[in-house]
Amino acid sequence: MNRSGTARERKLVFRGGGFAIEQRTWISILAFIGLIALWELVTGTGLVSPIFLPSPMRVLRALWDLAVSGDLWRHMSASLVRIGYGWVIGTAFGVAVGLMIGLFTVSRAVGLPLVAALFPIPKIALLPLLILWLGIGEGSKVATIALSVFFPTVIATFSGVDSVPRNLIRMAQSFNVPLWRIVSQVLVPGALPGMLAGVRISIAAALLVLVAAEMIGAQYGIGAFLILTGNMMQPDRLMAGVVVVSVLGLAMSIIVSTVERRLLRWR
Amino acid sequence: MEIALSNITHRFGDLTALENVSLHAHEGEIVAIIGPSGCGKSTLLGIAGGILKPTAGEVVLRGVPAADTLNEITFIFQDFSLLPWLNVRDNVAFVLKHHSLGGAELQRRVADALERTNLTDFAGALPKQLSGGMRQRVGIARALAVRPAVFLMDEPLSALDAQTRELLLDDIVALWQRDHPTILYVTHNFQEAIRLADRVCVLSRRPGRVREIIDIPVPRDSRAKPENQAKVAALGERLWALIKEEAIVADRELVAHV
Repeated sequence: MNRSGTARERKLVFRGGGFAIEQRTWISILAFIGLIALWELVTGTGLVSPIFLPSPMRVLRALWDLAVSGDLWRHMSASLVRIGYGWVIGTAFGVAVGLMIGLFTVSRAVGLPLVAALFPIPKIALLPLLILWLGIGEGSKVATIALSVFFPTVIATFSGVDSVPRNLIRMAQSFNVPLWRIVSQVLVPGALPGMLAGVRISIAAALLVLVAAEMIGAQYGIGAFLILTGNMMQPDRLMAGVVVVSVLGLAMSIIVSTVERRLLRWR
Repeated sequence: MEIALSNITHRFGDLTALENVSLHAHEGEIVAIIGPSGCGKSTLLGIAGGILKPTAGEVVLRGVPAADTLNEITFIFQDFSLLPWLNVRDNVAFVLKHHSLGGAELQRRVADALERTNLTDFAGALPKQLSGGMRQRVGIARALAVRPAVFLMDEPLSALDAQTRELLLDDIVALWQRDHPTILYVTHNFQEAIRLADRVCVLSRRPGRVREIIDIPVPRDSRAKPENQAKVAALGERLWALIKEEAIVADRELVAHV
């Protein structure tokens, strides 16, 4: 080891740095404020025409006016009712079918190819057909949203069931636990993480289809409002509508996260 | 209760896991099943417990279980198989709830099982908060709660570190000493077998066959005594020689299969 005869002493160089992402909330806030400021700057100085991009203050003003006049609530409540019904119906059927596919050989053989074939269809493409069947009213919109929720829910549910360790099922069987209790006490809780991940996807899908369906034919609703303001060349009100959609999406995501934290504390 | 496995053969596709295995444990006896990895020990236990269907052969039970027995044949699993979303108390109660016990009786059984495994203070803890040894004690508590006549222990200590293994081995001895249940104990560790069993059944490598059944004619409690040490050590050596041979070949075969 020490061929030269003198033991050379040197400090060990640290080489384990990096790859450790930390949370820096203030950087996020700063970046957000910076972006708004930049937006105000380019619009306030007249660099960008307010017809294309109204200033943040004007968007805020439009939002305030909408809230005060009650227009915001009228549109939002129409949208919330549609997405609420659509999501609940789609989720209920999706969970039921997903459980069937997860539990029984026959229903898997029947259901899986059907789901694989129908899942990729953009559900908004079915709106004209559903209008034909259910009329121009609420039914066709709710049904389109429900369909867009149904498929991701089915897939999340049965893959959730598939991911439940088989040893837990064998354990329950070895204690003679009856089937319905194995389903409700082992499979469903075990599939819950996957199902909640599916909820995130289904909410995003529902929001997309909601806005699109309302753009095609609705008197009230966020989508209808966006089309209206676009046609009337009111970019400030239009952007106020976009902000509302964004906040709606964010709020739903926060709700899901909260539910997840509550229900999945065991992980 | 007595459990007898007769002429058990089990195939997975064209792979024969077990061939013509016969084995029995008398009332109150501890029989260890030992063999190299992949010899079908756990498969054999699954068959003994009725959660795997053998290709051929049958399992026969003789005797009447105690009146308070809810699940005659009960497993203790290598991976504990606890429901991660339930706390310790609810994991134990899970296997009782479908029996029409009164609320008080259910509570009493849970409390008793937790007390016997020293888990009373951890009744509200989730499995993820417990060490491996504690988790296995929950597994033992869950089994005790149904008052089995036969315990099937599938490498219950294999997922634990050496110190914890020692402690739990004592717990298992204590468990047996109280009610003298019949125990089939699967392991790949011959020292565990020597410490616990009345008889040790050595399985050959795949396909698993009974290679030899060795009696341990020293009472369980006095195996650590100086006058018995030579005898016990000799038995251990004989056992190890049998397993070693099988393990070496099994190890090579495993490589060949990959």
